[in-house]
Amino acid sequence: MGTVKITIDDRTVEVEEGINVIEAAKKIGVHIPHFCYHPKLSIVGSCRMCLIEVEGQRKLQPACNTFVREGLVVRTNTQEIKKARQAVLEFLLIHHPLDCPICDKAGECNLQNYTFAYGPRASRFSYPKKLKQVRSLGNKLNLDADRCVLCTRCVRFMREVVKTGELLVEGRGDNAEISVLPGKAVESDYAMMVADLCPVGALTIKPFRFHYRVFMHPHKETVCAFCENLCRVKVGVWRGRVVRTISADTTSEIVCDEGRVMTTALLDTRFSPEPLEMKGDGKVTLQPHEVRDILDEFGKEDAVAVSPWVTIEMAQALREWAERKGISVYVLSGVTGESDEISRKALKAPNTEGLKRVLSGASGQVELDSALKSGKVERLLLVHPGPAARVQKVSSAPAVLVYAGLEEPDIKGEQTYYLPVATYLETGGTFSSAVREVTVDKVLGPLPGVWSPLELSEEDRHVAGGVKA
Amino acid sequence: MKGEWVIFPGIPKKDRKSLNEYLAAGGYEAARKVLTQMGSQDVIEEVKKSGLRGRGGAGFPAGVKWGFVPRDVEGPRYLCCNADEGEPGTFKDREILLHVPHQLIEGMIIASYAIGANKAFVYVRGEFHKEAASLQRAIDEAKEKGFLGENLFGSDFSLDIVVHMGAGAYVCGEETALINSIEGRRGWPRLRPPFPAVKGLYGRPTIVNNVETLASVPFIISRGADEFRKYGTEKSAGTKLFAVSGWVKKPGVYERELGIPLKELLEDVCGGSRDGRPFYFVIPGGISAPPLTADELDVTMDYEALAEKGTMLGSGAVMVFPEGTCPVRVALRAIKFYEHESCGQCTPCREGSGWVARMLEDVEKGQLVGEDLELLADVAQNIFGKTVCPLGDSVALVTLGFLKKFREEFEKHLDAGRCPYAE
Repeated sequence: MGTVKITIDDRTVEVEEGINVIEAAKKIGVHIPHFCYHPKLSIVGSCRMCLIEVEGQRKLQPACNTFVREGLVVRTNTQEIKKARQAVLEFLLIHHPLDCPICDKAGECNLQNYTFAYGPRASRFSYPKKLKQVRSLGNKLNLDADRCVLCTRCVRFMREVVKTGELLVEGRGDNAEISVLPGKAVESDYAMMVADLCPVGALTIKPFRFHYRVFMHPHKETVCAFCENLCRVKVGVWRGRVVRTISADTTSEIVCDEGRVMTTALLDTRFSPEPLEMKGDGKVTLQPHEVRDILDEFGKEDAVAVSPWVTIEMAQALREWAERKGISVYVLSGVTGESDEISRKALKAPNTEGLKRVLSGASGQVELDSALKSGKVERLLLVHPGPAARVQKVSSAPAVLVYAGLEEPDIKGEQTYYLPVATYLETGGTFSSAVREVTVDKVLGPLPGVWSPLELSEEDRHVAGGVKA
Repeated sequence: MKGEWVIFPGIPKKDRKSLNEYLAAGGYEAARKVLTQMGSQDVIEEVKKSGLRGRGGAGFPAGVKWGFVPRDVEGPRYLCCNADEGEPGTFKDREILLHVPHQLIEGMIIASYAIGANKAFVYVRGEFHKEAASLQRAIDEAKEKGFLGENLFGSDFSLDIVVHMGAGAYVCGEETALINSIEGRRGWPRLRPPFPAVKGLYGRPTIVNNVETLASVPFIISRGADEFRKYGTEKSAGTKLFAVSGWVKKPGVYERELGIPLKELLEDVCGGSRDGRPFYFVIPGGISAPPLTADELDVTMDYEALAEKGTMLGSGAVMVFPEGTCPVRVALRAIKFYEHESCGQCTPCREGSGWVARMLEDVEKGQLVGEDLELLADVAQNIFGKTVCPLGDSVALVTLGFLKKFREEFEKHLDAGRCPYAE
């Protein structure tokens, strides 16, 4: 691809051929407001928010459909453009209920932001608003049609990306409304992505609706670990809980609903916030020094099993610990499941490649099972900071089982200990899959009782002020 | 009178409906000539030379449009005939479909040959049942005779014509919405570029022409561009079907040369005012054309002269209103139509047309509360030039046109608190 020189607001820039003016302007930090344009979707130019002046053209042109060519001269901030933007925003708001105080999108809404940035101070429309009914579009989405700007991103996404096409526009003129094909519902595995793409508060996700204010909880970037695609996501944290998961960048990350729901719920599945000793049906809380003692007893006859949900950093700490103590290391296998052409991959584990690299000498699941069966293993530390269903089951337990996981251990030894393990959300770290390698920061926590494999490295223990046993 | 029924003699005589009648009048000779003697480029050149301009409303030169079809692209191209005739006040294309359907078919054969299309569509307005049946009958006759189908007139050129019925949406008369509608999509106009000539129906090069435009082509081919140019003006060549309605003694469709003085058309051709009441205003080119007041009627009916007066020839639909007509009511009626027909795709037209309609409704009742005529003008101006297709522009042009020319009438409504024309 070659490059061309164009002039945006009197600044000459060199940009790659074939892109449109919105993208070209982005490169020099000029934002051209838009609703309907989205790089992943076809161009319809219907919102008319991105109108700009193109030299040689009588009328204002939509920037989304103006492609760069050598010598193109455009302006994005003349008086005429400002008036056009005001006009479009005024039009969009005449039947809008202005219910930002109860709208889930408030705080991250393009209509709200643009109205503050480019809009008229007040509306001159003095008639009763034409309000529309809130309706359900299936088990995951609600549509507040009167907040809708009819950008049709949702319709195009379902048609062009997901290719199920259950959404459409119904009615004409200002009666036009997003709707579902008769007898259908949006039950696609990517339905919630539509709410991310919606530039306004028209499409909202049912479990999130009216529960939280997006501007009141910080959003932190991380990944979804529920398959090896490792989509980059943003999670909202509210009072120590993850309350929602959205795509970190809708132009590149198409996040499936399963990943969102499960990432949001990941920490809620934790069985106990404190280490426990499981005694029959009863449980006894363990003190931190008792946990250390239990782990310090591990020796030559013993084993550690590492799941592919363990980050590279955790795996390194575990490897060093095992080497120090002569413990044999086993790597557990992830499970496989549904996949598609969009972003879901069959292998539902985030760090299989990372473990191959860090724990290259380790044995696999088959060897672990036969070692357990033969009774050679006395103690087993099983580290799985993910949902129990997302790793291959260990066939039997040795005499002493230390289960560092989220859910209640489903196998029991003569002695069984449960450690609430820290997940990647609480420690940060690196995952490496066949698709990509990502390093993320921690997004919250960890809570005081939570145990992280990183504590095993002596350095960390020193830094943490812990006393060496 | 000059240009009287030159190109469409079959309409008043009603003697060319069937194939045999049309053949007896020298029909299909132009198509035969084109297919046996002319190259496609020669046809385009001849049409360019004739100065034939689009008769549907926009007035774009037909030959130039055909020339936009890329010649070096492999694969199918399409011709679409726009028979959606939805512009209020227009009723000329139906005469062609009813009385000289073969003339349209012949024009389509020539145009298809010129642009290299082997499949052509006629998009017929949803309400035109009789017209569609008449056209279909003619197509069947032509097929039987071998004028449509494979190897026309012994050449290696083949053509099929498909009649596609619309479903009654005004916006589908816009060429890209028409294309979407034929494809089975929602009748929403497409963004340009790409233009249909490059990427139209099914993503292929496509030409969309009005019925009258295509039906004028056989004349140009058989009698020559120079003969065509004998009528009309330098820039508005040829004759035009004028559909005159309203307060004249003899409303109807008349073919006259372009550039005929409007007064002559109204007085001599249509017999003048129905009851002697003077004309108050005239809409010269379909409802989307801003009106001409009584003292502006000294104008010739061609593209340039009307554009100079701030209006347009449009589809050639002349609507005549006598004194005693409430212009606010006419404007309101027009805007109500646009509000109803706005497709809902782009913001200014979708939201603006309803707003303008409500304000006009209040003006007509004399009860514009909290808003004034400046706001009406500003909202209309906010729609103008910002929409995907010209429907939004029409909302603005009609509102602004009536407001400019009948400002005192608008104010009279507001002062009286009622419509002064109301019984």
